Amino acid sequence: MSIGIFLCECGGNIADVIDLGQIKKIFESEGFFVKTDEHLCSDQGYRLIEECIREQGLDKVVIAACSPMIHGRRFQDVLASAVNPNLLQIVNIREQCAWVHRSDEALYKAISLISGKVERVKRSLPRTHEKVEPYKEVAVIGGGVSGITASLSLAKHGVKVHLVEQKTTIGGHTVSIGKVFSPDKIAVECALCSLAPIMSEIYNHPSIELYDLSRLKGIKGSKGRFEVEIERLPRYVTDKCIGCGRCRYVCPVHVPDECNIGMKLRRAIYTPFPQAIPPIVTVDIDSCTKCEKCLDVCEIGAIDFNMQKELIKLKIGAIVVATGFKRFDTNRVKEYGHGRFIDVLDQMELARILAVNGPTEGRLLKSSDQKPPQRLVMIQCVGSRDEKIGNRYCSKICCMIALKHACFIREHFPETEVLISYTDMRTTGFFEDYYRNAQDLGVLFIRGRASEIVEDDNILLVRMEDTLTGEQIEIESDMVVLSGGIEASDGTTEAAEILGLSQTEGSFIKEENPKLRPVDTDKEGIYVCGCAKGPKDITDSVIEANAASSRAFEFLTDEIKLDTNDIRYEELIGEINGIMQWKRESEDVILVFLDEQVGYRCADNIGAKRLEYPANIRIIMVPTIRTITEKHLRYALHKGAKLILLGLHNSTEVEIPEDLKNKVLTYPVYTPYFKRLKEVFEKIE
Amino acid sequence: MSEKRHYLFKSCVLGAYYPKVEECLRIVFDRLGIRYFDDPNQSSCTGHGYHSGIYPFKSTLEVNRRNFSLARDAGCDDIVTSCATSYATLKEVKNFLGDSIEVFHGSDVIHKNRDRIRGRLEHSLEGVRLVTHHGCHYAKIFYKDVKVGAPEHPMLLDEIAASLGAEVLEYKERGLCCGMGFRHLLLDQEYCKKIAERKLTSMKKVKPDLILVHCPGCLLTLDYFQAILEKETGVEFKIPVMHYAELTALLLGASPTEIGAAAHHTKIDRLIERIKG
Repeated sequence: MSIGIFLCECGGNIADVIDLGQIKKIFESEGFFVKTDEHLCSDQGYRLIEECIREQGLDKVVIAACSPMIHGRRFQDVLASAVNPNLLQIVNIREQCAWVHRSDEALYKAISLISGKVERVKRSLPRTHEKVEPYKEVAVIGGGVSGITASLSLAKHGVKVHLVEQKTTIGGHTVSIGKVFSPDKIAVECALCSLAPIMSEIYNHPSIELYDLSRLKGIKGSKGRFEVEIERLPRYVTDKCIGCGRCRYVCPVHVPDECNIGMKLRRAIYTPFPQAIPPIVTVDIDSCTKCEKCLDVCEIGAIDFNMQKELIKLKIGAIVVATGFKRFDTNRVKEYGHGRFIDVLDQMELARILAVNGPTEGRLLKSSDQKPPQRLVMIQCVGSRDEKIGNRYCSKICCMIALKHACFIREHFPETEVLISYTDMRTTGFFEDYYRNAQDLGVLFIRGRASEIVEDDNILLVRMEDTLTGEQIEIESDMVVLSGGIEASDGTTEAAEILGLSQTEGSFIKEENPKLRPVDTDKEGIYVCGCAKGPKDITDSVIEANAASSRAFEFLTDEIKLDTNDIRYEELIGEINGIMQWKRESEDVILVFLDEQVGYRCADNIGAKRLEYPANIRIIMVPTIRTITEKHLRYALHKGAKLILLGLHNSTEVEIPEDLKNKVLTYPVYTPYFKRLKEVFEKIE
Repeated sequence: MSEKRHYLFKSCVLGAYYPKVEECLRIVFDRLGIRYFDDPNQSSCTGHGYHSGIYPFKSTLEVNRRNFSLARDAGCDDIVTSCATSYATLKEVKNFLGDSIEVFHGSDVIHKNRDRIRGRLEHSLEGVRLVTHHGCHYAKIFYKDVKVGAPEHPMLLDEIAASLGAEVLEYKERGLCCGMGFRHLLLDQEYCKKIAERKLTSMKKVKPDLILVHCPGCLLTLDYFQAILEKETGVEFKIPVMHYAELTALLLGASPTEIGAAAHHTKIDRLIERIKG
């Protein structure tokens, strides 16, 4: 048996910290073939390894490079013809070594980690991947513009699509916006005019099954063969409904209309808007008084108060998460008085006022006296780029929304003066034309963040510092519009939890790789698009939706390889042995077992942020924590490990024998909380 | 908040100008059975000097490192301050040192126990209309710790006042500083006066019976400046200003002498008579 060890310099990322020459010497003296290269992940790098395998007659390969999460799979696939994938192991000497320890410590740790993998592959047997056929169906979670686009695209690829929408209609926020900005011309377009035909196409497409009033409840199985559970609430109206609307006229209940964000009223039996899909009415059972007047007028007998909620089980191959955003609740910024002052609105409320189907039928009127405002002030970055609120990110679209509304008002209601108080105007690319157009139309811009809004004799005073002149100013106005930011919707956080996906700081769903795999999540077979991933406009959402559907399609067309990183009992014993062989007398080695999906990625994140922790922490990746048996624990302690730490997540339970409890510790890991894990590494003793 | 006894942290401004107010917090704690330790060895947090730019941070750090040790020796896990400036200063030092001791403001304790207080009230604020003013050093420095209301719109005193039966009024300059401004008080009193005038004028507009404050500095400023402004501008204010501890103690049955009503520059006797019926 001959084992080859390949050391990657990773430019200078590894070689600048770890003396690879030293490592080469040590392992060569033990009789291994060792080769160093500047970039093993390059095409030349792959060829180099392949040549060495053939020339040297290597049967097993250990590559010390960056995290196996990054190129591990690629190395195994590309070199599959030269070496069996299970006989090729990656040692993480970058994220978990060179990036987190000082030079001398890193060198020593690298040697012990390499030794671990060498001892592991010694015990490895060639294995073929089990391949399965994926179910050729996709669940799209969320029926906003992203979900609609992804569903249609997949359906046109011949894939059966299950579109899950929690509301009574698909369309999402786009339908409420009214007018949308368009990047190529300075024009506002009617959102619903563009969207309605597509919504109708969804409804009539034979390959798309639409689940309204439905939520994702659970998931079982693994990539390619998921079983999802969907809860569908009753509509109390059957498909027989033709949407004639007679029931609506007789319903005596009036409640705030969500589609007009409460600025208009609707009945308890209703269609949210005329183009709603499915085009049938719904009973809002919470506000319904069960007077049954609607039953009397419905000649078809479509209303059925006995409908029950259903649990639907689907077998699907891939999932596209398009759960969208929620508007930042501007009431939370108390100093702006939204909710306290009647003429302080947010941009969506203004959008409804400007919409022809809105509460004022498109006339710009103040809520207080139904008169047009003389001076309207828009305040940007409300709930975005705001440390006090806790949202540090830019919501990306609010500048354009403000400009769209400002231009529209100046064009159609020129008697109203418009001022925009901004932090930075972010009008990237051709949107700059909009900015210029707004200036030409006489919109005034003041740089600064409003500190508060106060009311004096029915005049709203917007207080701020004009940061270009350094003066403190008070702007008298009679209408203030807050450009509220974007937050992850409840559906997004819920989906992330149920599907076990990593999240970013604002609870949006994190992509696997922001550059190269922007719509893949960290779970294979699950893709994400639109505002579920972060704030973006309609154009970007549509682009992402198409990308996600294309990735899902690619995934379903291929055969699926299962559990490539499964580890046998002896292999794990070998890895522990290899690491512990290099324990120095004075060193207290702490062995940390982390699972591939969550814990290991969390530890990699510490490295990606270059946060230092003690080098006596040695991390071993396992497919799941359950792989580790009592014998492994005892073996590691016997070999001299001072402590063992098991990273747990998702209510994984492990049984630790009573006598090992003070030696074997557990810690709940969660990929985004890597700083906490680093602190644990520092404090553990 | 620890169930063990609190380390009660005394305020230098209260000690100097309103010595009985400090006593009020003890009265309230005694009536509620909240345990505290009153340490004669505690020194000033020196926050007054620190925020006025007179004392360097280093000496503030050392003085309070000693205070933390005293608290720990007394077996306390947390410090409860009667003053908003002590609150901010101690928190800053705590964070700098990475100390585990917790710092709370006296009003946090009263807010937490407001339901119990309501059950023991001997007098009610029924029919009293008041405005609140929160200390900047409480709300604006460690804004993430403002748990009641929002950082720019704290509701701590409002909720305490409402639970005592008062009607809380909104006013235009709610977010404005009282005018004290530390350094300004030493260097540019005219500026302080201008701010206090804006604050008081805005309060006066909603005709409150009382200004409820949070911080010894605000109490001093709003109380003393009223007469000065009246002399200079001829506009009458005469709005009683009270510290939350005073008001709570009074309602729990403390006498005007016990709460030190006589120390107030703007008389509060009439209001007390009204409350005591």
